[in-house]
Amino acid sequence: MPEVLLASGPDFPSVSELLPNAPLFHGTVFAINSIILIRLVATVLILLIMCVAAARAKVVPGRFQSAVEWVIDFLRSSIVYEFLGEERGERYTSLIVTLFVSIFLFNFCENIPGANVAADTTIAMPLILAVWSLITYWAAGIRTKGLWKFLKDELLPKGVPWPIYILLVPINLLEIIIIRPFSLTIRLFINMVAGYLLVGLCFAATQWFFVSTGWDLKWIGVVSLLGGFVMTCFEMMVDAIQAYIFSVLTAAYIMLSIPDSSQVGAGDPVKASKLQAKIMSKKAKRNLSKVKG
Amino acid sequence: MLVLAAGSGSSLFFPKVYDLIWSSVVLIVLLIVFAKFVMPKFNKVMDERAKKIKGQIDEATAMKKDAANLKEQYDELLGSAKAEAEKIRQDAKEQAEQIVGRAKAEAKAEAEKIRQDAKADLEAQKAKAMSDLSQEVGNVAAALASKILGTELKDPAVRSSMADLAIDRIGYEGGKQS
Repeated sequence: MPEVLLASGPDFPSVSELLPNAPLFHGTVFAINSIILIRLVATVLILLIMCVAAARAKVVPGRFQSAVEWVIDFLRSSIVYEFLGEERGERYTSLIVTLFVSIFLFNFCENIPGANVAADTTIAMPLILAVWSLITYWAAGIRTKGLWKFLKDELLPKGVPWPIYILLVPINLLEIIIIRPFSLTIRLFINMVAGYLLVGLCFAATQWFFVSTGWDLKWIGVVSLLGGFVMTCFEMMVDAIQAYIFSVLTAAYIMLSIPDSSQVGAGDPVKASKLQAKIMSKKAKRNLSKVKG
Repeated sequence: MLVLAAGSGSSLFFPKVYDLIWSSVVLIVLLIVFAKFVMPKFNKVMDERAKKIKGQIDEATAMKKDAANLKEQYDELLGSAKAEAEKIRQDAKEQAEQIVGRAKAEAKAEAEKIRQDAKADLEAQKAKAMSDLSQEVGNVAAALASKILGTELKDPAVRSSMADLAIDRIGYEGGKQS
């Protein structure tokens, strides 16, 4: 019976569609399938849009430049400065903007006719993005505190009785190495897969009810068509939200890794003054290099 | 159920090597281009704009300050001009009052002088008239007395006393009549 239903029913999307063959450079490590091709085209488009906007950027902006600047300003003020502050966040603005813009436009490919699938619907892209996030917050922690202090702060939280450390150390280690990047990866990947399947399901049902059923069932096709439009709009929102969540969590992980200059060393004036001097020195060096540049 | 019918659901969670390589390439290219070109360019433009806006705000503030200073100077000048005008008006009024007072005093003095002169003149005229009259009356009285007596009064003292007597009588009669 199920076989009959499958054979005569709508052509619903399958996860196997998300594992397409790689016709280009087949059998090599540079093989390209349809999703990778969409990703490469999307990358070229992102670079084109952003480079053209940057190259033509003027003090008095046009509409296009204003739109791009609005996005950058929004990310800077609502994510970077919000989590990391102006002093610490300056270094990570570029990373957060890159993550948000690329994830959003990769996600948005699922709404573009011809592509119909997000450029990050394979697990590899979210995984690489999450690994980059992991590298960034580890690097931030190690650069600011040193490896030992970073690990100590992450694995041995203060105010906990020492026997609890037996449990906490492996859990925390697992969290900063595996759970954080894994959750970032799975959240983005599953959302994109689910979106692809839901929208595909609606339009596949529409097509089947319009073409293969009698007049008495065609109203279901109308409902599924409306459902498809609604789901497409919903997916556009999900695309933006997922990009935002990924960027926010990356900023939050960086924030957890590096000390807040107003808090670290609060109990130790010598440490506080040393840290303040270090920050001031870094800032001066950066300004000097800017002036020289 | 239908979606997972293909049986390749778990394969989704195992990335292909070529997919990882292309994903890494894409991310690295994006990160480099954004970090080295896009963001510095936008930061530069936005900083320039912020600097320009700040400059314009500073300029506007300075202009506002200048305008306030100018207004203050203007108010000060206006105040001093008003005070000056008031002083001039007061001086003019005082001068006018002085001129009028002086003119009045001069006119009064002149009138008094004219009056005094007229009075003196009148007194002189009166004295002269009285003298003439006295002489004339004396002569008439002497003539009358001479005619009455039939002899000429040659003594001047007698003639004078007769004249005086006649004048007194005339004066008495005149006073009586008036």
